[in-house]
Amino acid sequence: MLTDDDLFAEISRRRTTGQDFRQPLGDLVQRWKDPATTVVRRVQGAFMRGSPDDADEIFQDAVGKLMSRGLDQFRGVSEQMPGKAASPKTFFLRIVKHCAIDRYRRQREDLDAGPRDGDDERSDSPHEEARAINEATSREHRGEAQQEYWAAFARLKAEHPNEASAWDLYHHQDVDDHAECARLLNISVANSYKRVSRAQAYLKLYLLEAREH
Amino acid sequence: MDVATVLGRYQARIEELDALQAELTDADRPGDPGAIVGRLLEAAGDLLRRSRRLPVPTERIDAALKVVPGRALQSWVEAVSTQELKARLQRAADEAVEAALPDGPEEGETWAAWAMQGLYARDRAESARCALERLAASGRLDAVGFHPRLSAALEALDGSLQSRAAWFTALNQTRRAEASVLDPEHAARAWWFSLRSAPDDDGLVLALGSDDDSFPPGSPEAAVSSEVRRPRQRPVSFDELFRYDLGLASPAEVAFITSRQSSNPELALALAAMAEGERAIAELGADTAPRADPAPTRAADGAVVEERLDFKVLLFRRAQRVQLVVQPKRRASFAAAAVFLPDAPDLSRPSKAGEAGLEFDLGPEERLSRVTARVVVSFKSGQSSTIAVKL
Repeated sequence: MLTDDDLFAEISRRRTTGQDFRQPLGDLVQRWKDPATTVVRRVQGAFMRGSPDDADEIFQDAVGKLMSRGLDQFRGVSEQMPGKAASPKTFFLRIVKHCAIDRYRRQREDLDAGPRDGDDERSDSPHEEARAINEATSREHRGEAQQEYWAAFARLKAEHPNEASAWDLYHHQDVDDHAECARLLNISVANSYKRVSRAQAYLKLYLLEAREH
Repeated sequence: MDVATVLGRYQARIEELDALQAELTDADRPGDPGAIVGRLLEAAGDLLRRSRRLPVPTERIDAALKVVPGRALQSWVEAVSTQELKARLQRAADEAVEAALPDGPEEGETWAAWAMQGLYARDRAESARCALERLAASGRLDAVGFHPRLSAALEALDGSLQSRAAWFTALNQTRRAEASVLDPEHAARAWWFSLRSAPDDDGLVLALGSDDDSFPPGSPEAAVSSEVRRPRQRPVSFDELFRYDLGLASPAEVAFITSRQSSNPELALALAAMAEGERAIAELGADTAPRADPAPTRAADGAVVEERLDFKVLLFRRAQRVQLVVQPKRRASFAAAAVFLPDAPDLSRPSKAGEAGLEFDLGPEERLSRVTARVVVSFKSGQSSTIAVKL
């Protein structure tokens, strides 16, 4: 029987040469299913959330992530951190750990975004009803605008990643000091100003384009 | 660019048309004349669409069109790619934004010149369409078949890109000059030169890139400006937390996560879960020795001047020559790369496949001082990215 490392090497070889690698990858991750379940349970314990049934879904999610992005990232880890990089098994278990964390973070955020105080109260007067409708419509529009904005930001990240990083720091992370932005991004202060300006222009142009369509 | 310079450029099309006509009638000319036909149609259309400012007897243009051989016309039609043209225009839109907000004033001019190349490409296609229409009107049956196909393809392209006219406003001075020499009916159709080209729009992209709130209330620009500038925070993403855990987060990501940790109990809980999961992995006995062979890379030999999700661009200075290397990171998405220098903005430098990727030799170092090279990377999705590299 091939060792984990041999099997992983075979997967990498097939992938590089454009061959189907799903079968050996399936064999490999099946060996790691029990340890993956252990990791999921420990994360569940930290969050005080989840059920034993979640483990299967999280495992599938982790396999999907390993196939779509993880194999590239694994190579990146070895390149950038020689001597500190993990074995394929450890790397996969870390993906499992993060899939579990992501799942329970989302669940908590969903609960937090639940009805606000008074949302469930029934309003009988026409005036109150009209106000409730207006508020609901306004919330809906705000939600649409939020989605539209984050879609534009995702496009900026894909098309102009340097500008997106600068805007992310400056606007989403409250680092509104260009000297600090420049230090964190390892660029000049003038460059930070320019990148933030371009990011702002692109985002507005994306929204104008989306609204025109 | 002023109107006289623009007119001078199109004036030269008259002689070019005669020369191309002579080349097509030369029976000894070797090879497929499809490319010559394309250039002849563009030259003829350029003159037809500017007939008021450049009066040329239509008989002279018709005589040139008449010599177009049927097979060569078909060969040209088959080679026309509106998808490539679309990608070129999309790239030009980005280049025009860079021209409005460049890192330095000299670069602004370079970006503007590159962006105009994209608009000229769309305009040449329109001229070819116009010449083909005239050929069809003269009774050429093959042209009668080809013209609606090309028109429909260009119409679809315009439908998807016309909303980007605002992106090109930094080029308005040249766009206005170009629009002014077109016959009015053609100027109205040529959105790439005429739409949003009024002087009021000249500083639009610059204003969109600033915190300035001078847009008229109720205008689309004011609405998107307020939406983009609204204060907002975003949660730490899966990828950021993962990279942080692996020690691969950038200094900016580390600063972000560290600052949020103290103010955001949810993130603090996620980080505690991350540590607990890591203890479980250690207890399971998975080793931590490196297993994968590092991918071959020559990044250490050259300077990485740009790194994107799908590719890296490396700059090498060896034996007093300058070389750029485009290194794909995701071969499945990478299609091609080209490198242009300002002295030949439409002619890519020669390349060869090397150990680290596509290698472009740009020439001796002393000739490239203060020169900016344009690197264009195309993806299989049809998208492309442009990067300016100061040599």
